Amino acid sequence: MMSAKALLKAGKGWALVLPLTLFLLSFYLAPIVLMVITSLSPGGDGGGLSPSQYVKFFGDGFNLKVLWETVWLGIKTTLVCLLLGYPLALLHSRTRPGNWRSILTFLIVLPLLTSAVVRTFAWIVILGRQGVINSTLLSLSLIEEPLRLLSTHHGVVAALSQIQMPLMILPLIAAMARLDPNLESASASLGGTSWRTFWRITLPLTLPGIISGSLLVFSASVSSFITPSVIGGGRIMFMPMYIYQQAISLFDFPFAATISTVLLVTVLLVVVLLSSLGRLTRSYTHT
Amino acid sequence: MVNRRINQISRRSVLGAGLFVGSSLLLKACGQPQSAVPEGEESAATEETGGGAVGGSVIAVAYPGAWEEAHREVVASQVKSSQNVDATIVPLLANDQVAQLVAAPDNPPFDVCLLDEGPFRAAPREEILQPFPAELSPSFAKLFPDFQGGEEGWGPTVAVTAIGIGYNADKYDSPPVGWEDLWNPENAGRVGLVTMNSSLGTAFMVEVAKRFGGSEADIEVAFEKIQELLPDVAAVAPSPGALATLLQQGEVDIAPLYLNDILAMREAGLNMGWAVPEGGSIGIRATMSIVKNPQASVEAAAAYIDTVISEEAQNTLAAPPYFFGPTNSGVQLSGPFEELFSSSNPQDFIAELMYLDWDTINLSRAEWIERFNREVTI
Repeated sequence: MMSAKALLKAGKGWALVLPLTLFLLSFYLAPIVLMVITSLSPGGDGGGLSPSQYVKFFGDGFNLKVLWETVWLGIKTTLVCLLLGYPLALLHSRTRPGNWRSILTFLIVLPLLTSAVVRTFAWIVILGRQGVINSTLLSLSLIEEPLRLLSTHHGVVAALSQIQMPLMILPLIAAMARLDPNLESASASLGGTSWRTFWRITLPLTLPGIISGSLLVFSASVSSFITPSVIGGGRIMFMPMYIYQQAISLFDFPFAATISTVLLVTVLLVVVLLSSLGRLTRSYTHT
Repeated sequence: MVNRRINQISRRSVLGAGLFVGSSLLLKACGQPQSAVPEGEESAATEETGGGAVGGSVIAVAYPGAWEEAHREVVASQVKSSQNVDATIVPLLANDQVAQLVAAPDNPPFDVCLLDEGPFRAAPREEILQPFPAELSPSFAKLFPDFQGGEEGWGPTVAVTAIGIGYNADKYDSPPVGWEDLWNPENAGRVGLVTMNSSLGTAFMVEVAKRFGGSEADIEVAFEKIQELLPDVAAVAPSPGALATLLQQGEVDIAPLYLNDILAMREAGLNMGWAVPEGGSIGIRATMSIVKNPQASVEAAAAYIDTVISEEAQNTLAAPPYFFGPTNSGVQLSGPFEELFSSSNPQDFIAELMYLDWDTINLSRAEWIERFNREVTI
């Protein structure tokens, strides 16, 4: 009796998500399936399905280099966001609720309130030959010639890290809010140094936040289009720009679909890897 | 009691209202392609302006940046006052337009497209464009004969832009002389380029090839020269607009650029120069056409294009701050055109430019774009 009722309840729950399910099926899943099918077309006038586009992709060192550069960009951005974001999230969670905390929250969310395009153009002003950094260094006579910061990989990582930072900090703050402060006090009272407490208690218990933040930052970075193309310019190639070029400039839709599928699978692999890491830590924190 | 009534209202009426709203939206969407403007409105508009006005609305494309601004400020207001046509300007690059038209030929997202020679000649014109109804365009006859769209008649050439050497005049005592100056050691670390995806980038590479013994069919020598130049290149921009921005910000000091971009910067108070390179400046002709299956009426779309090629609009578009080369024979040039070219007659300006053989270029353009992007990537 009870179980039938529960089932009915569950059934009603399903009915409520039906519109969203239909929406996602028709506007999200169907295009992805179409994309994968397009990527399997041999190109030219030939019909049928063939893996030739994938052979072409993986048989060419240039494509592999672009793929690796993109993944490497994602890793670097994620690490920078983590290293700079973790202390800030820690500070936020240690600040007592009140004005200071509200100001911190506002500052953390602030980048989300302006569009990525505006933030990217602000970075041009900062990184340019006559930008803030170069003019300061020049006026302090630390350098004689302006440094080249735009159109470099480092410039892209710097700009992208600032733009994606909230995606790292917000999950971290959520994880730290769940952290029982008594545990840290207990560690201290048992003679653990603050360094040891951090490594043995705080960091492991906030790992779920680190993992979800890293997932968000990584996938947003490897698929970002505006910032790498504006800051990186025409000499630095990442997967999203490569897809755009193949589809829009060269009208090679099968190959563009292939690059998209490869990028999608790469991101999925990283997601699976990080989630399994998350499961490991969950068993660790529960025992 | 009240509770029950609320309960009763919510389910049936919410569902009913939802269905009503949904189906009316659906019906409206289905009905749209046939007539963008209800019949009554159109005739009312005609009466208001004393007959002859076309009425309706049209969605037209312009390239992002100077083109978009010019067409929004000048053409859209003029076609509204003279023909009562409401024009919406969508900023899109030529290749993006072709891609969107090819993707949805039965339901195109805009009614009038704007294409440079390269993309225009490469596009599947029969599938996405319709012949221009010259009889609906009084200004058409005033165009120079070369700009009336030829025998194919897909639409008129609406502007000619010139490619030359743009430079930061604050940093040069004398203007550059030819394209070869980019390889000059004093320009190391100051040169800007643009990828071959754009007409500007492709035209530049073909011209370099021609200067060093190549042709439209063979630009191998240009690739060799670019390899030589790459260590000294300050930036490769992804689009012509981005290249103009780099010059403005001092990231690069010298680059192949469109005349109207440089003149617009000069209008804004920047000390920029533009030189006609030895051997001549390259002309790029931009064509406007009505797409196949437009949502707007053909009359409204034709009225829009007619306005772009009218003497009135082209006089404004050829003057500060826009500086587009006119195609209407009634327009007079002035100011910087007179300084840079030999006369103020637009026919002389047009004749002084060199035009490239885009049909030959298009045969290998995709391959060149790929190769260029590979070879400049770091």
